Amino acid sequence: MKNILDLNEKKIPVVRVDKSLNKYSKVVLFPEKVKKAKDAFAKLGLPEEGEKRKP
Amino acid sequence: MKLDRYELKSDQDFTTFEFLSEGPKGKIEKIIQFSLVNERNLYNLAFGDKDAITGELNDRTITDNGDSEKVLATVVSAVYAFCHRFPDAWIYATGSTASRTRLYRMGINKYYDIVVNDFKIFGQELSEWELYVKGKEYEAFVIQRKNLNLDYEKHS
Repeated sequence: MKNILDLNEKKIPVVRVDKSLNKYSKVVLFPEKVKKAKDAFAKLGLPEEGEKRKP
Repeated sequence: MKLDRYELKSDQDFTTFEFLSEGPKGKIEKIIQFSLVNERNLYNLAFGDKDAITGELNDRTITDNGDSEKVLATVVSAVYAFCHRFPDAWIYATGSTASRTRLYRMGINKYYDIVVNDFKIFGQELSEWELYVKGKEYEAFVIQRKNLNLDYEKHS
């Protein structure tokens, strides 16, 4: 039987689905951070796009 | 990968995660959310404390609950879980404050040798992305999973 340490060596964790969290699924909880991400994307794009643009 | 981390719960979409930080200041609910930013599969990673009374979220507080390493390990763990569900996602992360950005950087540096095998990691320096250099200061980070053959835990 696997013990907790064995389980913890795995990279993808056991995640228990809690339906009470579904109320957050369609809600942006940190809108300021999402705005920052949008601004960064508009300015920089994604990294590989930038890499492709380099000569 | 032996990381001391908290047990995660998530919504059915695997975009919002919750765990309980335990320390000298008691039990503090933490929320991690991956929000879709645009149609290019870019998601924003954010996490903060949930006020036990009001339910309000705060991503600026420094909780100082004596478990910052365990919290970081749990956030890393949530990234693995999220990317297991969304393998093509790009994840953008930056702090709401300079100290928060430093916290992200510490997290990446601490687990760099593990995660670099599984993720492409880029750092924002001024107006460019560059491949992440361990120990260097960046304003923001973007990662994408590259190793699709990861071990995962089984429910016992």
